Amino acid sequence: MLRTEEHGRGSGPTRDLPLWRYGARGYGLVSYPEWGLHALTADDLRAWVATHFTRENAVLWIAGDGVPAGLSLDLPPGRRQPLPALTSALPVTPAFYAGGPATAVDAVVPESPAAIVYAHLLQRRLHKALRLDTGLSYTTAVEYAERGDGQATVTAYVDALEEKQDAVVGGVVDVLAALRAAPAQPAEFAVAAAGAIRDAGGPDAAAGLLPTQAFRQLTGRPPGDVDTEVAALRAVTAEDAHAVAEDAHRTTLLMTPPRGVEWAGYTPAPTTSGSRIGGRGHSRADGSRLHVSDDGIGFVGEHGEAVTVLYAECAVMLAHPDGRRVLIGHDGIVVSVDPDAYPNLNVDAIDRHVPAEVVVRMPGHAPAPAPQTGPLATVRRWRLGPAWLRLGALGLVTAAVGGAALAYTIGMIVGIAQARVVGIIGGWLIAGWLGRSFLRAWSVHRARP
Amino acid sequence: MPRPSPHVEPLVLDRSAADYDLATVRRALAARDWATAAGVVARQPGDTRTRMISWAGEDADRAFLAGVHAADPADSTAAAMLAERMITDAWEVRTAQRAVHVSAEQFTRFHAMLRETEELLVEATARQPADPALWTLRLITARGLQLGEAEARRRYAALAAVDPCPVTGQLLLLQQLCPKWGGSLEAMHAFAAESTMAAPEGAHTAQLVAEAHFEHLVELPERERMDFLHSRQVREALQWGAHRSVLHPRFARTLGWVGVANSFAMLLTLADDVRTADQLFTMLGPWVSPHPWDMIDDDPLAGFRSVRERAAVARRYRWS
Repeated sequence: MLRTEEHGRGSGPTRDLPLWRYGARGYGLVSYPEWGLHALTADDLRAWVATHFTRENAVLWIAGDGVPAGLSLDLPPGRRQPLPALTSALPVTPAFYAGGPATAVDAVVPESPAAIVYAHLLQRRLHKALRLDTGLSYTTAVEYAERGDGQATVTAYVDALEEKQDAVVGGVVDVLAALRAAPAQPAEFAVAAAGAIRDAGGPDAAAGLLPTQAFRQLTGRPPGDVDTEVAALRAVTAEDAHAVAEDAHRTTLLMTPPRGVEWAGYTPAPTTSGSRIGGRGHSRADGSRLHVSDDGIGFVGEHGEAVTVLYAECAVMLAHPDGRRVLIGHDGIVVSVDPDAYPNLNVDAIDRHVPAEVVVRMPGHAPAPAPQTGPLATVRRWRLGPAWLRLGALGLVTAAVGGAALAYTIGMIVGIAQARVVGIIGGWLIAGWLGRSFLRAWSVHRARP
Repeated sequence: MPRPSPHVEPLVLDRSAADYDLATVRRALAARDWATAAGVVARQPGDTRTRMISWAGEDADRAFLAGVHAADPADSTAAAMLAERMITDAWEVRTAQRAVHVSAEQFTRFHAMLRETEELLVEATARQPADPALWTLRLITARGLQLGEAEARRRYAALAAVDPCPVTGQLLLLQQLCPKWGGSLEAMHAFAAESTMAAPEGAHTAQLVAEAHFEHLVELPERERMDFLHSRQVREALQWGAHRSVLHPRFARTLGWVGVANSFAMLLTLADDVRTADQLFTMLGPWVSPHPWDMIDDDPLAGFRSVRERAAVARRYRWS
């Protein structure tokens, strides 16, 4: 059942917004799959029930004329679970990340009736600009959701055909700019406010408010009621909604098509780490390097861009049976390691440092060892074999004889050694012969499959 | 007996010499008299106002325009004129060369300057979405910042919604649709023909037909250019465009007319339709526009003279 829920909330187009805003912790976790579900034991479950399924942490709501006779919720007392700590993965806002082809807007504003009316206004403007006037998009949707800590999230989503995506994001940028440029005209504002009031005060409003009231109860706030909500919405002015537009801009995070919206003054959300780590380096042919140290693991791309996950700031490490390791930092940065790509990498060096409570052993079987094409396959992995020893010895002798001949020659030239022409010619001949043998052995060795 | 060829000299390249109002605006800007400048601009109709803002703004004092804009951010004429000046500065960094000849540092600086301009224009259009000059300028920033054809077309649609005959914007979108900016010959010609058909007879819009044929010409390999220029289809299209605009009785000599006549005069001469070209050179007298001559010669006047000469010589040769 939980897996179904995971799919239900994990597949929406705006799924990734929280992870870009909050990182891989707290409010950002809803962006991620529920890794580790398969590894839960009955004891884990019982422990969770004991702390979470208590009078302070569970609300049952029923829409109807009364509570069914004889209903009794016999939950044990416990302790109210706190809200997640607020985290941020966005050093600068307004920001954007390229995730397209659809465009989405996400802003955090103080919870208020004016913000609800602003959300309705935003919905109307997006629908007019992108659906009615230009036909660039079919779906525009805006949602206002309380976060539980006095702040609310206004999220808008606008779909687009691939070839129209750049125009859609352009239209969204202009709609947002127009909302902050001036308060809405009275007629337009009245329609938006009426929409908000209708949603809050319609025939099913009392039932519709129940989930919100339950949420408020669990986050320690007054549950509110329909009449109060409607009265508060009626009191909102166009200037109030305009002030929300300005607040919203300061915290805005946009999901955009690949071109991004740097052109409109939005800052790219970080996709690389500010810091690098040292430690042992493992190079690849494309010039990129993987670094593993006692503090963390990092990857430096061919253009010098770095992604780093420190073990102390690791939100989760997925340990796959085939040896792959995926580390996700608190900031949402991912370093993925495939030991097949780095022959000298021992994943134990990583596993040793990652705190056990963030390791998720992924299900599946370790792959059967790859069929070997012959004993040379191991040589290919740069292991010390007899062929290597022979080659090494030959190299050493060559270097020694060559070095001696060179030293004696220099000595003769500067005059600190006696001139023995026949001896030095013999020395050079032997050194030359050894060098040729070494080069031949070396090239034969390299030519092996 | 043919008329003597119209060898009027001296030639005049200065746009404001051909237009009293533009000259007034430029004088007022030079004297830092915003009220006069804004007053003259405000009484220009449609695309003439857009063009006047561009031509007066491109070499106006940037600090002065920035001051006017800061004092009243809601004044969209000031915002547009400042943006025009900022765009001119940005393009000076980029230069008009093809992209392969522009260095990475130049592009970085160019894009940063255009982004700054675009931010100003986003704010200005948010305040005043009905000002066609702002949307026209956003067609330039869209192209420079490579925001793609879909976004350029969205901006053009916003422009067309507030100006039924936005020739300056149409010329800019035509550039976007050119192969050199990622478009196609078909889309470019289709847009030129559709816009011309949709515009009233005598409008400047048909300049798009001449421009599209020139852009087509430069895309062709050298050896195919003569066949293209001498094809019946091209000559007929140019004839149609010229008679729809510059040779139409309702053609108005408003700001930009010199450019329309210059474009057709050049293209018709290249296509060996010297009779019509000669008519246009006669009509033009001394008035030369920088474009299209900048496309064939570093010195627009030299380009103009040599083509005018060719039109006249070819004509004498044929008639004698």
